[in-house]
Amino acid sequence: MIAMSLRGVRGGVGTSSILAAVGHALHELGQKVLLVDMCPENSLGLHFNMDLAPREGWARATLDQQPWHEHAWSVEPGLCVLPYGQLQPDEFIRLDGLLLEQPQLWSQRQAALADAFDWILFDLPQRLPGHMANPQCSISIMVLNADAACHVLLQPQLAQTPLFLVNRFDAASQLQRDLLLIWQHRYTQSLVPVNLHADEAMGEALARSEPAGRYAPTSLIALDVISLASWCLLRGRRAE
Amino acid sequence: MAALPTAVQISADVLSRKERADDIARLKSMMELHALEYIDVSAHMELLQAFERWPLLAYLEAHHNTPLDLQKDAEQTP
Amino acid sequence: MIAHWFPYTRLRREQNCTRFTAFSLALIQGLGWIFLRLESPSWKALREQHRRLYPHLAEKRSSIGDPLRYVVQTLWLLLIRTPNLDQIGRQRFRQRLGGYLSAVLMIVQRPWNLLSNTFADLPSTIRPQVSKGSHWWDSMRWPMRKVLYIAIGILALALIVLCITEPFGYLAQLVFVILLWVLAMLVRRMPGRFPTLLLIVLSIIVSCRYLWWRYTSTLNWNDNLDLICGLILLIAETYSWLILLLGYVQTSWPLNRQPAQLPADINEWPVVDLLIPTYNEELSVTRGTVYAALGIDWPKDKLRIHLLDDGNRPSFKTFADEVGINYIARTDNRHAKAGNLNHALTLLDGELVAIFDCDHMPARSFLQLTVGWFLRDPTLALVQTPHHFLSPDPFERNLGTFRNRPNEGELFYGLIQDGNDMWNAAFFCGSCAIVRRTAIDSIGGFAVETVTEDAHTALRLHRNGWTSAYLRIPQAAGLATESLSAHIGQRIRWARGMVQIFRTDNPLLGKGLTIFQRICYTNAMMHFLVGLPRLVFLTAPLAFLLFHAYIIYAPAVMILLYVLPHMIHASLTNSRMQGAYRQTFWGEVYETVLAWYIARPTTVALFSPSRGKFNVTAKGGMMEENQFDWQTAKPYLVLSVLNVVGLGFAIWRLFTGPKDEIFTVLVSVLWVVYNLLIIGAAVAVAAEVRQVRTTHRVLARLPGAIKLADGHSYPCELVDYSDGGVGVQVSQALQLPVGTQVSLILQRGNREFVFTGTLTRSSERFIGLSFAQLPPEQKIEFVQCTFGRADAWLDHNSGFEADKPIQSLKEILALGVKGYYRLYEYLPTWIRVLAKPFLRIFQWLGSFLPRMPKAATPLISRPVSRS
Repeated sequence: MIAMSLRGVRGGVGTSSILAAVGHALHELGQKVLLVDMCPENSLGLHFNMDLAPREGWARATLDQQPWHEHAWSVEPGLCVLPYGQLQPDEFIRLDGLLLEQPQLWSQRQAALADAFDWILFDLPQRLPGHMANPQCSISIMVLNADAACHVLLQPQLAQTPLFLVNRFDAASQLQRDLLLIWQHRYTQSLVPVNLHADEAMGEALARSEPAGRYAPTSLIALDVISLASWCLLRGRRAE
Repeated sequence: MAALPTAVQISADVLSRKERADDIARLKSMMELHALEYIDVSAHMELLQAFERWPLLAYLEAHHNTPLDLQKDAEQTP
Repeated sequence: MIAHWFPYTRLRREQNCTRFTAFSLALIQGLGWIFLRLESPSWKALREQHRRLYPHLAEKRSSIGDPLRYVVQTLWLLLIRTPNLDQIGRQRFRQRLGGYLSAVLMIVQRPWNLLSNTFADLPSTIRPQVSKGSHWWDSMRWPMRKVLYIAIGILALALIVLCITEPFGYLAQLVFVILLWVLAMLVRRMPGRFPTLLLIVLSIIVSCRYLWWRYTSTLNWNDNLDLICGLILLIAETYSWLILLLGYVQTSWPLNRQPAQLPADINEWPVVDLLIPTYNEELSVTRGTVYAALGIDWPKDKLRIHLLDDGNRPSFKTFADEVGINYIARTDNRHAKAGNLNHALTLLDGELVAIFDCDHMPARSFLQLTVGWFLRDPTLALVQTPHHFLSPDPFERNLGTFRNRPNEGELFYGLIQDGNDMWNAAFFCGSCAIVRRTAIDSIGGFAVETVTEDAHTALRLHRNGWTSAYLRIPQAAGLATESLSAHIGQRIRWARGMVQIFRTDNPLLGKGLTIFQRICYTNAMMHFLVGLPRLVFLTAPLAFLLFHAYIIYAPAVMILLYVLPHMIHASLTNSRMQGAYRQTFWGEVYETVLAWYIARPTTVALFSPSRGKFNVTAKGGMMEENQFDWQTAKPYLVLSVLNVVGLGFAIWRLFTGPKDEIFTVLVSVLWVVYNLLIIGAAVAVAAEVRQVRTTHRVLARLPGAIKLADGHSYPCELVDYSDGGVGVQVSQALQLPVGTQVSLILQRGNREFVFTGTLTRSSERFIGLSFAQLPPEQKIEFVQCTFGRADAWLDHNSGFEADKPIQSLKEILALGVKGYYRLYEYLPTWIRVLAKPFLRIFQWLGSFLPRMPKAATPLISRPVSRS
């Protein structure tokens, strides 16, 4: 079992869409995958035609001290999504504190899931340190867009960012090309060698409540995501 | 990790695309020049121009990093 | 038609047969139904295969000859080309037949396989003994070793001399040549270079023996005509023998040099002046080269690009200013290209000078691969790389061999230069090369005395103690000559120039060269004297058939016993050494095409070397329609008419001549037919095939993506490119209208580039894009992503088929026949009207010939194995 997490360097870089697409691609490559939504916004499920605001989810269950794993949805055999659940703002801040107190919570859960899944993917939120730190992942990726703001945000975080991934790359833009070149030279080791291109199909996929690879299997973004999934497989095999 | 044959094929296809894109890596493997160290001068030129084009990038570069070294940064192929 | 009992009326009505034909055919069929039980399942199954097994009869109108055609085809199918007849119950018969045959073959095959496998494994088997032996040898004292060396040498030499000079009778000669042949066939399968050397030795022995025999016992001193014709042939053969031997020396040990690593510190890299000489070539051709040169990975302050325009054209000057390169023109154009280069050198001061013809686009890695050797070896004056051509030369275009057979230049750049490099004799080829400035200055600039300034310059460098290197990595590509006449013109220039050097600065004489350098240069120059000897071979049998001159004064059987081994061993050895670069017998075609044209200029140059001027090779044009180059083909037509006349004489001699000459006549006929077919292949080259486009498309397989205006992107495969556009293959049909703006994303290494073009063609999954409107800086990037890729030309030989001498011979002979057929197609109408009846007869006779059955369409897959 390999745990992987995705987090945006800031909001709106397309993290949930990538996570859904990569989960789907890994499943296509024959892996048993669990996607865990760690964000109170509950947006991950939307990519799999689930409710916008499912009442139940792991967060709700954890707070209510009920069995958390009963709330996972099976999208396809071998591809499951675990939603966050409906929480009020004060509730998820309370949960965050709980997670900070019990740093082993998710790693114990991961161990329990090891036989059932090959991959567990976490969609991490922005400003909830307990949520962000709790899952123990062998592959942690930060998602960027190739713009100056991301470049600025990236600089102080470099120390704790093992890997980062460029999303919505548009090679026609001089600035994006330049930024990518700088990153390639500056951070050769930490830059994931697969760039996800800007592709209308990615946005449309969410509007259709599907992961990109299923909505538009022949699109460029679908190929990019498959490349990313293949890279993850290689990397995961090395990590295991 | 059991992967279906089709999955293996998909991965191989993706990898082959990646390999075919890298002309220097292919030159090295086809001509058996594994020890060859190639310097992608045009990429370096573009890099220098990038800092000229975008003052913010140059500013951040100057503040956060040691200057880029052309020779040390010989093109790396994984 | 077969399902009817007595199809008389059907044949009459539907096939329009005569009464007699219809009746006979119907009768045969009726008899078949009565006696053969045609309604039975096995016959029925066979009838269902009718179209496949009798492809030439299925669509044909029935005629009286058809029963015979069926019989011939059936016999052919049963005995020779047994198709997959499992369903028809023929399998057992075939198996039994095959069983008998293989049982017979096995008697010979099994020991042979055993023996040849043993030989193939020999190197690994005897390795321990060999290494032990070499230890023992090394431990021996030097004087002792020297004595042994001399003794072994003398013994070997004595044996060889004995093998060459000992006269044999029929039987002894037969046994001798079979022994050598068996040895060669066994050695052939062993890997490594030592077996190659052994094959060379065998071939040299057999060829020397042949020549010795020819000189000592095949000249008729009593008849003047015999003697003169015989001597002419013998001189031609001696020439071929010499070229064969020199060739062996030249290519016995190709060096396969690797690039030398440059220092890590970029500041130590030398300054390079890159010269692009041009005279009358079009700007469109030159642009690509300049863009590619601008993309070379070399520090910008150390790479200066100069366009040397001998044509003094304002458009070139404007272009040079636009892209920011240096423009050099001169007032006169004395000494053509060499003069142009020398003039430029007076204005430049870089340490190295790279030279590219204006149609040779360098790859971006060119300098980083080549310059290293200059830093490693201070006496190195020259690094040459292969000339690769991205468009088909006239041979490839007219014979349809582009990308599937090695072309004419392949042998030179693939093997000969690499062999020369072993002896420090790789020479300058005018382009795709880099020379040291001090070396060029030390010999007073590029040589201007001859029309091949490149080879002469290299010779001078070698004479002055400089060394040269050859790097067999295609790092540039250019356009091949576009028409046969231009191609021949270029070869005439080379031939004349090389012979001029041979006369004025003979590599065998003078100071400063090693013996092997002399051999390599001599072979390169002698090689161009091939014209006259080739013409002699093409006409030699006529001397006997027409004038009854005994050119080889010996019994026909003896001639075969001597000449066949000579040819077979030479082919076997060359096939092993050069098979990957030139297939067996193709050299004959190349030589035959050139023979007439280079015969005169080389002979003239041999006697008066100062005549002859520089002519520029025209490139990059197009042939607007299919045409036959009568002017160029004239000599071959004369030769073929002569040989046909010879055939006529042969028939006459067969019927009227003395009985004991019949075998000699037959051997001569074989020779004439071979000559006729080789000439036919040359004629086939003269039938020029139309060139469809002005820009040449390069086939590729590069990953890319296309982006549409609506933001959707799709991965694609770049399948071809030219300087004005690309063709891409997408994984799903996109149905885009012509004229749509489409962006193409191309990768090079980690970097991506976007080019926006217009859709010109869209069919199914193929999309053609035009990039006519790209801004200049994008054009540079485009060239760097395509023509300038470091790996662009590396797999040009991936489509080549392996050389099989017998197969190759068949192909050449088939090509010869095709040549005459093409010639017929281009003949004036009145000749075709006259020739038609004869052709009809041939076609009618040919219709009886059996055909290959069509490939079965496997509806049901057969089980692979039975449990």
